[in-house]
Amino acid sequence: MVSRTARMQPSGKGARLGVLLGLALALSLVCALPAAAGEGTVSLRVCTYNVLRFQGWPEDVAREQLGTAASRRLAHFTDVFGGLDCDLLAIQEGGSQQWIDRLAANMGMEALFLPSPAEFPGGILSRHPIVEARPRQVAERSWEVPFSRTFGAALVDVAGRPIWVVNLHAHPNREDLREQEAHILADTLDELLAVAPSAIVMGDFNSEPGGPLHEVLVERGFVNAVEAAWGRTVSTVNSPEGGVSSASIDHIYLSADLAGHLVSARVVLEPGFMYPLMFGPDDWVHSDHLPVVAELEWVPAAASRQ
Amino acid sequence: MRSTWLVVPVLVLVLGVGAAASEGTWPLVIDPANPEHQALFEPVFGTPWEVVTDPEGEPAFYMGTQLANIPTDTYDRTRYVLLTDEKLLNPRLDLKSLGGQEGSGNPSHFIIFAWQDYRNFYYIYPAESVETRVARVVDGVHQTLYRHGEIIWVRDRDWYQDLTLEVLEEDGQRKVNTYVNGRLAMSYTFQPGEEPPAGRVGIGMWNLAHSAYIKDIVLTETTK
Repeated sequence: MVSRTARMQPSGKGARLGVLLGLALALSLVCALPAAAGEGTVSLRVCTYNVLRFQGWPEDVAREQLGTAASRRLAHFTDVFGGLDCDLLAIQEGGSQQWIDRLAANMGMEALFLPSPAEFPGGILSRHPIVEARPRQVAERSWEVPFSRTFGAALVDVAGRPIWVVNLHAHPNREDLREQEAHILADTLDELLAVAPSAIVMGDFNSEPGGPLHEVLVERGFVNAVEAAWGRTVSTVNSPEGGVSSASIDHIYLSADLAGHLVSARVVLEPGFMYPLMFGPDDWVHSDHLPVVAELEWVPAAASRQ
Repeated sequence: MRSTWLVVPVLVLVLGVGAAASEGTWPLVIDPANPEHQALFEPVFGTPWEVVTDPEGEPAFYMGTQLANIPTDTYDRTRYVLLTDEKLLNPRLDLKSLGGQEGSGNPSHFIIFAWQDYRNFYYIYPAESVETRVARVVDGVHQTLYRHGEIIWVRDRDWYQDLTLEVLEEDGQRKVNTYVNGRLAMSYTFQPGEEPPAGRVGIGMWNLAHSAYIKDIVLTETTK
């Protein structure tokens, strides 16, 4: 474990990389795709966030600063998510069903809890009605099965447009299991898209674009929102050396019909989310991951005919 | 005749343990901070059981992971505390459980009923496992009466969860229900010859492995 003193004085390649990446990413925050806001449009802000069981990170510092009482942590994360202002939110490492339900209640959103064979359940929160729920059922307790973290889908009615919201959390290190997860994702998507053609697949892929999960999506015409906005991926994981690491593993993919409505996409790097480049002993952030946010706008079919 | 209790904290302070366990009306509502109520529990064979302040700052019972020395001539996977020496035919036990930081927290519980002695008792096993079941121990020999085969409980170290044992008589048959967070999670109708007798009620967990804060314990009887 890195000592507190060592972390206060970042040095070497890791720190320099963190500084460069941080500057580059901070710059990226001020850019965006051309906005298409207008009268009668539907706006949809989509977010995915691995929240590390609502503990804060680094965990030892967060434990001291935030405490361990669940009620206090719930209040904190209610504020965090209130600030993100998401219409659709995919949560990974969501603690438990009570966390998902209580957070949704605080935010006035509908919720679908996604169970986990291990200890990493997730959830889908929505400001729009959830009309169908397809959580992946848990039949056994294991860390070493496909989607041992979480996987599931909700069909959401966004102003009359049915959209599948798929939340996934892939295995962190076993490529063979991620291959199996890719097959499950492919089969699931083929079923879902036969019901409704619009889908958003997001979550903690634990892999960079090019991996099997990503290929399943690309083959079906899905577009990576951040790549579409910036022409590259952006790191989504904080670095214990300060700033962000080089890992881009949290993603939002949009089906082809939704990709054309993408207005902007970004990784949230504001204070509280991104670990400071020059951090002090009391510094902590909401999670080891960073949220990814995509904004979509479109004119409903009925409105466009007027 | 079955004695009835009124275990309201203020009254109990006046009446004392003996009076609380012999006079009054149902239900038995346990206040962890009340020494008279604390005395209603009997930890068996060194089962850890103490009153602590829970993470929310409230008093609760706590079952740690320490080893209880369960004799080997019986089912020795669970250690437990018995609640009162009253024998109930159709008990209902409600409680809230929050996983402790020790061991694996609270992935399962053994809720004991029809306890006669340490070698003869029944239990339900709500668990984060497909081994969820209704079982009994007869003369020290374990028998699974019903294997539910589905996960009906998931550990939680942040929020209390509700757990209820309900033994009842319905349409002339005895059955046992398990409720998790208010929802019926497992139900079993006893077959002829295996109906549980009147016995004591207890709260248990896996020996040496699990830990939990337990509070809001309420014991009553569904039917006589």
